[in-house]
Amino acid sequence: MLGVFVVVGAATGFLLTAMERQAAVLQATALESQHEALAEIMDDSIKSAVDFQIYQAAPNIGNGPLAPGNSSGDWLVCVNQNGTREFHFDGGQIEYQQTENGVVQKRVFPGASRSPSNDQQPNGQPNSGEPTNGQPIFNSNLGIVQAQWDVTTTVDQVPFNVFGVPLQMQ
Amino acid sequence: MSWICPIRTDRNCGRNRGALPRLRGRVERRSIVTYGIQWSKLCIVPTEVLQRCLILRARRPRDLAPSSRSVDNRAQDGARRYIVMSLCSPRPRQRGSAPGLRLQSAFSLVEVLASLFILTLSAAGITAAWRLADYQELLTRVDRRAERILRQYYELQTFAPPDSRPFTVNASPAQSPVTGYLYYPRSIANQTGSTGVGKLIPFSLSLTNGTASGTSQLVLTYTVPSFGTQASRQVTKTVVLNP
Repeated sequence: MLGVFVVVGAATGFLLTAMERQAAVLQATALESQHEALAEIMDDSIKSAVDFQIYQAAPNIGNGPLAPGNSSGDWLVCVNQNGTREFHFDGGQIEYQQTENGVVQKRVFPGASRSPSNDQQPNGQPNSGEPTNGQPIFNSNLGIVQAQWDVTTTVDQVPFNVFGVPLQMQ
Repeated sequence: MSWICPIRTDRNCGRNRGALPRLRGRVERRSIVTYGIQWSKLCIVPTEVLQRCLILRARRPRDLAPSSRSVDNRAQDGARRYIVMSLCSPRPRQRGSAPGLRLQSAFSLVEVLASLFILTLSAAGITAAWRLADYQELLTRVDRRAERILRQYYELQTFAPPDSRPFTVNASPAQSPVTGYLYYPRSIANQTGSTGVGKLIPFSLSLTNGTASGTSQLVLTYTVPSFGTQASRQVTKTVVLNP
């Protein structure tokens, strides 16, 4: 009886370890899927924007046109025909806020970090300037709106790059 | 199979020694003898029952033997008793001596080997299933990342200003492809940290110029790692660019 207990206990422990690993993989997949959805939302918002700005600080959004922004920052505001979409990186997560007809919807995507591996331009040429570690995740270099961030899951690190060209820039 | 039958001495046997059940009927006697023989074949007879049976036979052999049995039957019954004693009672007690209070708890060699065998089989099965699930999950994630990268560069090549495009269509010198990695696993020592990632599954993205106009396409190629008997294979994804 004790031998059976030992065998069943060892097998159960091993099985629990495997299940824990599989749960970590599923959690990583879920987190990646969330940020993939965020990237699609961001890409759609940028491409359909009739007005957009990048800010380094929290913007004051009114009913009028957007105030002039910066070439890079952690705030991205896109205005399209349906409403306003704001993206904000606060150092550990990306907040997405959608305002349509006065209705505000907010979603938070955790696990984001600045991309330290951003050592390549989109055309494959390496950046020759200062290291990009610590740079804001939004910029409009090269004439296109870019968003680059990393997602650190329980298993791996997933880089996300969004390249979008708004309607007024096409 | 002796590994499923731990031989133990019950305390009740020592406590109730001498208090043997009386056998009054023939059916009851037969049932006791029959059980003793069958359990001895399987070797799962408790020592208490076996000892009671043997003591009964030693003290009152005439009561145990049915009156209608012949001499041959008695001889055969004696042989069965010898089998019982030789298989499951390594040290037959002497007449009149009661069993002592002794507790035996140990594993036989067959028991340990069988446990190790079952444990090894379980570990191998769980590990194989675990690795297969991990591998399939990795393939799925890598495939999605490849499609995402291809979609990003399609947007870039299509809508970005000409100076910012990664490739130039119909360029005279061959352009170097854009390379990168699809999988950045975290190091074992840095599971709780944020740094220390490896680089696996490299990909290569290039532009293929077609002969006709509007047939240029982006080609993304990466190599899937091998798993078990499956050899590593190359996966190619393409997207045709708008003219």
